[in-house]
Amino acid sequence: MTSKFHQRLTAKEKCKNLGSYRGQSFSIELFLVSTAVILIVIFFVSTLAAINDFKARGQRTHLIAEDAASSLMLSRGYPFDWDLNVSNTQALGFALRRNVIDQQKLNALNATDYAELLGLAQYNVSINITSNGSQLFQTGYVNNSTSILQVERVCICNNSPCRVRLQVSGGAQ
Amino acid sequence: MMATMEGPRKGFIFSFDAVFAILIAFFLILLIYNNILKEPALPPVQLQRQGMDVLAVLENLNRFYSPGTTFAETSDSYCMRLEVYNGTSSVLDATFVKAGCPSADSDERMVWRATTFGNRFKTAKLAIWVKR
Repeated sequence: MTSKFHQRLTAKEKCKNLGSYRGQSFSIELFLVSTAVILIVIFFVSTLAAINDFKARGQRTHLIAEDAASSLMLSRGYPFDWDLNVSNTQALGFALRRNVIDQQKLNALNATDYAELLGLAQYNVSINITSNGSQLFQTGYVNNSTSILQVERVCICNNSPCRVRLQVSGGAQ
Repeated sequence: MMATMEGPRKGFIFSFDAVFAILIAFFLILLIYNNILKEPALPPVQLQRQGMDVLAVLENLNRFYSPGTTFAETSDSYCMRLEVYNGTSSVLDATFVKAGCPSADSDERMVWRATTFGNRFKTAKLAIWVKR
């Protein structure tokens, strides 16, 4: 009888002990799983943030290049006769009127620090003008080893439709 | 009996948990890859700008009825269709589509310009979209 009672107590104790072990292991498991989940979430969020940051930088460069192309195509620059005294140039633009290129200003472009004036000093910049497949003007270079960003605009050169191609590479893209 | 009932139940819960975890991981990986692979959509303002350029060139050269060479100077990724109307009426006078492009697209943007051609008042409507 005593031994049976003793056996029962032992079983209860075993159960009690088992219960407490279960609780303990559950807490450790919960802690480990929570830590793992938090780490995974942090990893995914930081990866997404890095991707978005990379894309935003590319888009910012694209916007700067778009604005530079617009200023070249649509404005006369500042001062309006900057081609006569290039050292005094504050803003570039080679439009005689909207989308019509002033050949004199185009010829004076190489004498200016055009990348700096267009806000693209940190990039390699190339400006290329073609008409019906023939090259009319080319200045600057782009590095082929990095991704090249290109903005194309339609314009008029020598009374014919032509294509202005502004290419940007390198820098903080 | 109880032990045999408990076994499969535990297994079922474990499998369900695993499937759930795999689905979440798959969803997160898909989200990242979708972000990497997704090409940024061309802003509508860029299309509008290209359209304005084309109309400005056509107006300056007075080539609303022969826009082919001007269309050819635009980027290959753009498609466009020019419609010329008499005055402000809705009567279509001529339509031109860029070579190698379909005649319309559901995502096209419109640019308008009023002009004169041979002492006649005309309205030019240019539809521009990104080639698919």
